Amino acid sequence: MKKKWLSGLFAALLTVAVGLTGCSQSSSAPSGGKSELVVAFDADVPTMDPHMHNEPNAITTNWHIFDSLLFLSRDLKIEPGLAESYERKDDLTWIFKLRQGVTFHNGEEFNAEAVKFSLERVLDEKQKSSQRGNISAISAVNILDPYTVEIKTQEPYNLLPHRLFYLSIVPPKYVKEVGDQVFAEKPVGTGPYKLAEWVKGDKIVLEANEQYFKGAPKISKVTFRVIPEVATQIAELQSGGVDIIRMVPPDMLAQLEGNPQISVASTPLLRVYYIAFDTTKKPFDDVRVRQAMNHAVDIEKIMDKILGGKAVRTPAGVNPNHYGFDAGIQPYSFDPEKAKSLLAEAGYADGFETELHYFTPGIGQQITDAVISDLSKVGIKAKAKFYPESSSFVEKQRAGDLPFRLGHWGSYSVYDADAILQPMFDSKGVYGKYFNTPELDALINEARSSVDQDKRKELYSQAQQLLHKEAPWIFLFSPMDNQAYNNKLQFDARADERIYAYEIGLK
Amino acid sequence: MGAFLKQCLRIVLVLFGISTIAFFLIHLSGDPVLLMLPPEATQEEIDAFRHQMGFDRPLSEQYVHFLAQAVQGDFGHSLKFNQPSLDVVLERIPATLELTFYATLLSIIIAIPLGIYSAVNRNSLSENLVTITVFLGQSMPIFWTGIMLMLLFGVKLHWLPVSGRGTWAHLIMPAFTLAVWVAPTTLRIVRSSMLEVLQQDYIRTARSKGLAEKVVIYKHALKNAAIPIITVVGFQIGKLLGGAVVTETVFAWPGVGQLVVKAIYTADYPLVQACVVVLALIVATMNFSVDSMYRYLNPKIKSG
Repeated sequence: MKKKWLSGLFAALLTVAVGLTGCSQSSSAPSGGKSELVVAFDADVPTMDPHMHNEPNAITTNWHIFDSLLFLSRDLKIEPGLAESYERKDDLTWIFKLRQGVTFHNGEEFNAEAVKFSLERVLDEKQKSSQRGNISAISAVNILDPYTVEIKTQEPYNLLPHRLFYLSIVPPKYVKEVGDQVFAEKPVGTGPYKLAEWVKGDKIVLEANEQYFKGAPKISKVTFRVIPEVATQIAELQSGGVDIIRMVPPDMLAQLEGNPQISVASTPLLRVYYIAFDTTKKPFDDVRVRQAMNHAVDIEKIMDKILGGKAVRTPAGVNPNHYGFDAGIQPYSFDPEKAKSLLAEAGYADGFETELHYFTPGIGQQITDAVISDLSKVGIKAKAKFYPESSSFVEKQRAGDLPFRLGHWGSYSVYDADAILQPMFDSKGVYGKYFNTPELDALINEARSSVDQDKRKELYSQAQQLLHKEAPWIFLFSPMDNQAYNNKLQFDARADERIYAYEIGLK
Repeated sequence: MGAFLKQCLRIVLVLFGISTIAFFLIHLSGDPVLLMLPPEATQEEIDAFRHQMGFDRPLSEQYVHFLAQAVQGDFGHSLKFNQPSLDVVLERIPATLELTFYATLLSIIIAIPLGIYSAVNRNSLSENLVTITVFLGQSMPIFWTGIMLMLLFGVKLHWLPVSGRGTWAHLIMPAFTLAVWVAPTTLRIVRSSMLEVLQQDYIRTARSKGLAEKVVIYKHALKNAAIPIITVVGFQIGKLLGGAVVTETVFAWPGVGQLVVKAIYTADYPLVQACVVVLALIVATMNFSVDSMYRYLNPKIKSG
């Protein structure tokens, strides 16, 4: 009798719950009439000043508020932005023709003055912009007429257009008038959205710029909500509180894929995972040892088990999205027997002991565990050494103190092989201490300054063949960015992990 | 008045100690410069930045500089936010105080009636049930409690918003998560202090005069059991602030707890220091208030 009463109450509660579910869903999920979009950020942005940070979330925010001279299309092609066209006059000189009739959100006119001011602002050492290194190749910015700008570089610099994608153009009059502090709180740009509200640590609200030069955005209000916890992000997506989340861990994908209201898109990232050797130290100075270790690790299995298959191999370190990637190079096969015989040839028939340094928790630890287990099967006893502080890892890595380390590299969002080869393998590069040869140096530097794109491709092929043979890394893979989103969105994930509301619509 | 000054001096000493410990702990944990600069930064750029931030000076010198500035309320510019760190912290303080306040209130609402109930019905089956339930609440990790509440009331039932801050509804789950975590300690004190008071002679007198049991318990007994309860509630504020670090992260609550986690993770020294000192100040002030109230309620206790 009592049981019946209880189940009755339970049913009543459920009815209420379902009723409420209906209400709350209609108010929080985007429906046809309302064009609102809520995107989850894992952290707040440190500043709205587009020149004073290197943060992915802040870059995404800036993309909505500001424009740059050139855009990067969804499929990674260079597109006109605030510059209608550009040409390379000679090895050191570039001419940019600017779009006319564009105004900043405060009505200030966009012109050559704004371009010169923005570039020089970043270049100015007193400004202390952390983006200065990106464009430090620029030696002068000259105004030829109100809508034509000439940019000069010290040396031939192929990457200049790439370096301009993330360089926001800011309004000179406004910035000078209000000062850097106010500008960092109340930014004014030419972009498709204006800043409406910024509740620090909580959310950023943008509203459409109806006067946008490419036409008013379809979505009229965009909110970036700060949600540090992945589990919370997923719960928010499931309840309709947010519409898009990024970087979903592979083991949580299955749960989302079963939900009919949610779609998952996996797009390749530019980031490359690797395990690097110090080729100047024993036993890694022997190329046979390095090759053996490439054969000893079952990378396909790691990609499959740890990343749920959402990854692509990088046979010579270069990512398939980098310009100059050589698709012809075959990855090292998984072949423990061959690894053993190579080790024996090198005089390590009984293996050796070493330490594998790493700092990324989670996936980094899973990769480390798998690699150590595979290496033990060919006699190499590796111990994992974890750095809870990534800064101390980076410090040691820079100093050249980590002979065997798991790392990853995002190429600073530059889609060119130079962005990984130069820092990693040029003797002047930040990690050049660990492996470099005069031959590789020559290839990298010739490609860097060459104007002929076919020749650059050829040079990068040679560099990758050399790297593959010399194996300064255990070449791992490039993971994918798993984005999950509300089915009501018309959304195609970009190939560069950015979320850009201007390209998103509602069904 | 003398007692008041003494207390203030004590708070100053505590803050000094805490900030000293914080300073040395975080300066031993690596170089933030490399995190702040782009990967392509040259050695010259790194050295210049390090010099500009003062990280190339001896630790003792940096410490003296830090103290001299901190006394004036200047904890330096946050490396990440590029504005005075104290400002960054103060922007987030209201959210944390709001959460802590309502969590405290909720924990009292849970603990006092249940504590009285279990004291009055000592050793009964229902008392054991209360004890077991409440201690289950305490032994669940905050993180887990938070996620479970979120899945039930946010995702499944859609009764409450999953995370964020803004309305009353947003406050319920994070405050409850924290309250469930601290309530058992309060409950235990309520129970034992009620048990003690209920055995006193004047309670027996009150009962024998024929007063209603409710009046005896709530008017006579609870009033006299209040002192240890106030003490424990006050001291729980410190614990709640610690718990807020996790709760704020889980519920995306934009307070200092979330901020400090991020600041530690990105080696933002000035910001970590400002957070630590501000949180320490809150705890010290809270303890000070508890002491004062204690003295007020029980004049038998000598100041000192």
